[in-house]
Amino acid sequence: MDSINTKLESRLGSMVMSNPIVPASGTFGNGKKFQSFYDINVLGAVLSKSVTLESRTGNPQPRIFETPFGIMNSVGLENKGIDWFKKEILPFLTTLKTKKWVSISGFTTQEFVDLAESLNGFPIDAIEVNVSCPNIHAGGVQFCQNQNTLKETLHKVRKCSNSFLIAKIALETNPLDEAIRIISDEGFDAVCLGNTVRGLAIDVVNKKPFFKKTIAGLSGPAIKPIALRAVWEAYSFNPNLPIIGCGGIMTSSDVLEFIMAGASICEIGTANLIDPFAMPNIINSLSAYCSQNAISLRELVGIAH
Amino acid sequence: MIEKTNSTILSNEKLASSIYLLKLKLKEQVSEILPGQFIQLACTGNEVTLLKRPFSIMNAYNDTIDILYKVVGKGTLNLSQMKASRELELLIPCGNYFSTPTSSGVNLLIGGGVGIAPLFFLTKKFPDCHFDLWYGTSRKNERGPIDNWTGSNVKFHFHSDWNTVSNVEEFQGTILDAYKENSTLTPSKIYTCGPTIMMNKITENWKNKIPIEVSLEARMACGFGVCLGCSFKTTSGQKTVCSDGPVFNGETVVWESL
Repeated sequence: MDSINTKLESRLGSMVMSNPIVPASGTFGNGKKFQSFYDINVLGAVLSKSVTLESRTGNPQPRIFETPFGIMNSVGLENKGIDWFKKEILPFLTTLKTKKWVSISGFTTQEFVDLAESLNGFPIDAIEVNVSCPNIHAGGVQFCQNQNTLKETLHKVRKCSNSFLIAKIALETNPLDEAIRIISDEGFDAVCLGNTVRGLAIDVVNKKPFFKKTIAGLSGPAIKPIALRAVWEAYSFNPNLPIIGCGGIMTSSDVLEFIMAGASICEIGTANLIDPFAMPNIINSLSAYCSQNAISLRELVGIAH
Repeated sequence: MIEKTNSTILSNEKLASSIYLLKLKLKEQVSEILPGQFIQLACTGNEVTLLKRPFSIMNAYNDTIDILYKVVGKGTLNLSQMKASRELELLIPCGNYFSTPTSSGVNLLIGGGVGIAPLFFLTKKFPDCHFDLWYGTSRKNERGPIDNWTGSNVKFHFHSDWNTVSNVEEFQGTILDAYKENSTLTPSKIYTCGPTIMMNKITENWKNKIPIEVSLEARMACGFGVCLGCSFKTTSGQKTVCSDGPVFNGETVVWESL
C-alpha cells in the first residue's frame, strides 16, 4: 500500500474518511478473513455483514449462480443475530483504526428500531439501515418501495438512534425522487444506492426456478449502469444529500464514474469475491490517478452534471 | 494461510472422455499444501466467467500442483482449451484437510469421478500408510490411467456404474454396491470424495461403526468464507464448505441441506 494520499480524502456529509472505498455488506464477512490478506485499516471504512435481531440460517442451497457479467445470490441474510454480533464482532471492530460501519436488516419497522437502539453507546461510526429488505407486514414488499413504510421506519430509527445513519435502498426504488426526499426529510445523513437487483434464473433441466426462493439478487458489472443511473438521478434530485454508490464497481475507473455522477463514497461488493485484494488495488490506482492529474477526489463529486 | 499467486500451465492433458489433468507451476512459494485442500482458479477464456473455480488438489510437489478436472460448465470448458505456458491466477491453499491416516490398519478410500483427486493425494502424502482405493465413474470411458500412478501402498479397484454389454449400456450398480459385493475388508478409517449422494450413502453404511471423512463439493463465490454462498447445515450449526471444510466428519453433515 502506498503512503496515505490526502487527495483521496473523502467526505460523507460530516464524516471525513481517508479514502472513498468501503466494502459492500455481505461481501466482506466481518473483516477478519480479509485481515489475513491485508491490513483492512487501509479502507475508508469497514462495513460488517448485515445483522438481524434474531439468528438466521439463511436460504437453502443453491445460493450462487453466475450469469454473464454478474453473480446472483440467494444467501438470505444468514447471520447469528445482534447479541452474538455485539459479543463476538464489535470487540474486533473497535480495535480497528479506520471507520466502523454496521449494517442492520429488519423485517418489521420495530425490528429496525430495536436493532438501531441496541447499538447506541457502542463506538461505531455509522449504521447502514438496509431498507431494501422485504417487509413481512406488507407481503414482502421492500421497505423502500412503500413511501409510508419507508417514512415511518426512517422516522422511528432516527428518533431512537444517535448514530450517523445511512439508508440503503434498492436501485429499483420507484419513485426515486420521493425516497430521496423522505431520507433527507427524516434526518438521515446519507443514502446508499443500492443493493442487488432482483432477478431470476431457470434450471432448464428441472424446468423450475434455479433458486428455491425463486427471486435472487444480481450483482456485479451487469448492474453497474443501473446503479450509476440511480446515483445520477439521486444527485440531481438533491445534491446536498451525501450518496454512497454501490453496484458492479470493479475498478478505479468505475469509482471515478460514480464520483463524477454524484457519489462521495463507493461500496465494493462482487469484486471482493473475485479478488480479495480488489479494494486495496483500487485505492492504489485512485491514488496514482489523483497524483498524476493533480486533483483531489472531493473536487470530482458530481462534476459530470 | 491462503495466498494469491500466479501460476504457469506446464501441461493440460486429456486423460479420458471430458477428464483432464492440469499441471501448474506456482510462481511463488506458498504454505504447505495438504490432502483435502483446494485451489480457487481463474478460468477466464472465450466463455465469460467472473468467479474463480474451486478444484481439489491431486498432488503437490516442489512448486508444482496437479489438478484433475471434468468439463462440466463454462469455467472448465475454458480451462480445457488452455495451452501450456499460459498464466493463471489462483488462491492457494484453501480450506481444511484430511486427518492423518492410520498406520496400523487399512484406510478405505472411495472416490467418485474426479473426487478421486484428493484421495490420490492422500496416498502420495502418506507413503507408509496402506490404502484400499475404490474408484468409481459413471461411464467406463471416464476412466483415466490413474491406477498406473498409484504407489505400492495402494490396492486399486475400478468400477463404473454403467458398462457396455453386447452393445447395450447396462447399469452395473454403484461403487458402494461393488465394494459390498467384492470386499471383506474391515477398514480402520474411511475417506470419501465424489457426488453428494454417494458420500451420503457411504456415511449411512458405516455410521457409528468407522470414522468417515467426507470432502464436500459446492457452488462457491469467494472460496474463503465471507459470502456464505456454500453454507449448509451440520449437527453443530451452519458451516461453509470452503472455509470450515471441505473436509467434514460425515456423521455431522445434514445431507438434505446440500
